[in-house]
Amino acid sequence: MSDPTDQNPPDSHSDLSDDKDLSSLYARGSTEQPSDALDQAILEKARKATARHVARTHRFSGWPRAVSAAAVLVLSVLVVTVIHEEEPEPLSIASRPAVVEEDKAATTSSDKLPAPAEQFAKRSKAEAPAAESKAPQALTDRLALNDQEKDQRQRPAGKEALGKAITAAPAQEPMAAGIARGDVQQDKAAPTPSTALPASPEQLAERDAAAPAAEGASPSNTLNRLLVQKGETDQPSLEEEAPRLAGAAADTMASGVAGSDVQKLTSEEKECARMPEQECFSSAACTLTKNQTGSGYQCRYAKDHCELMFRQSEGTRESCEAKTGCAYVPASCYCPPGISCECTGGEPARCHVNSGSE
Amino acid sequence: MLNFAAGDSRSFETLYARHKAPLYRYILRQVNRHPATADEVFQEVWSSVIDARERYAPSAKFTTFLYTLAHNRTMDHFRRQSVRLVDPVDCDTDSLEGNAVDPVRQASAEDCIELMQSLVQQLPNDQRQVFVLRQEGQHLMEEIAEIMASTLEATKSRLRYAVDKLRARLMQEDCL
Repeated sequence: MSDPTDQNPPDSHSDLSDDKDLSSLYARGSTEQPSDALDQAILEKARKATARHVARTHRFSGWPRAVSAAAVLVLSVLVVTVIHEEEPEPLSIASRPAVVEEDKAATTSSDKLPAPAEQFAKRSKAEAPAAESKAPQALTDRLALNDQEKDQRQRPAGKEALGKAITAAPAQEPMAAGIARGDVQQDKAAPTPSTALPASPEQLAERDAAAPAAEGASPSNTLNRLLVQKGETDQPSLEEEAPRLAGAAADTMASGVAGSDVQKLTSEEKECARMPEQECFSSAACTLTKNQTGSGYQCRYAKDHCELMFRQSEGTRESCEAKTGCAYVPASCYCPPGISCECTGGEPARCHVNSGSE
Repeated sequence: MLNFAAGDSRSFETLYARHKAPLYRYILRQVNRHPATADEVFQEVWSSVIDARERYAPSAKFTTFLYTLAHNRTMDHFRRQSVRLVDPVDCDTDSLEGNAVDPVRQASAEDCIELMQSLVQQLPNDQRQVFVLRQEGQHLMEEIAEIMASTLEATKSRLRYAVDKLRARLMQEDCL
């Protein structure tokens, strides 16, 4: 298709201004148009293409929004989960399934027993022996788990020793295991390892004084924690509070509950105060007492090792006085809620520190 | 075209209405005034425009883009038909033949228009393309050169040859 004119143009000008007559003649004969059917076919194709494009655009424009919303939702759930897992789980009554189950069992049995508190307690115990043996174990395991988590955070280097201590703790002696796993952990790293319980605040203080070298900068001895905690929450001076707190710490240690657990438990006093009478009556951590005004009852947190783990609904003299320095006081005309009794309005059974031993 | 690419179908209708007639005539002239073939190529060209809307980049005038597509589709059509584009007249011939007007009577306007159409079809293929593009699309010479993938000088030369041939023949028939 070569054209000889390509090489030798006769005229280089391109202006067709002098060809207007030629253009006019051409234009007069150029009237052909595509048919209407052809027009419609092409326009229809364009409309379809546009509709597809719009649909695709809308589909893809909504897609990032949905993905963003889903991502935000997933991230929120993840963050909440992570925060929930990292937060030291407080030892709440509600978070102890075994205890709650036992409480429920006691509540259920109490509905069937139109008897005074003493009979109520006996029948509750008889109907739920498994719960009785399971609940303290569950609580102890919970304490052990909490302490393990806390110690792992505070002393990463001591993980192995912690694991050994927990593993070595005999299952038949959960309280001793709690001690071995808890505060005695630092004893393993101390110059004079000892698994014996500190018998007094003085021993506790001596042990804690020896611990810092092995424990580094972490002041996690029981007495100090109690003092610090008390100082943060209450206004009285530490000097005034120290003897009482030291005594509480010693009591706690003697009863087999680690000091760090006491720290956690004391933060739940409010839960006891909010607890209904029936639940408080069956609780291992709260104690139901008669109001000093003489009418009604109040629920407070167990103030010593005697009250702790003593369920007023089913506690017996034997179970109370099995603890060191504890004395049992039977119910005095107390009638649990929902039960009709001949005598009511008195003190429920209690297990308190024997004043003679204090 | 950009509006159409963004999803505005009315922009395409405007575009189509503006360019459909000259483009159709350009294609019709290239396929020897065969309406069915012209329809087919015309539809292919607009389908290509529709399909290429998202790839369209306004680097040149839309008319240049449109007529380049038309030029290429016409060439494709001839390739598919295995038609060798043979110039209806010898390229070396400077004169065009056509149905001569009866010398006894004065040439009417209609006769001149018909003669003009006939003479255009007799132009060599390249010259006809340049001439029709110039007449129908009012393209600049640079644009025509781009559409035909040719040089500017060659394009100018083809146009001049075409015009000279047409003028000579039409003057001979007293149409100019």
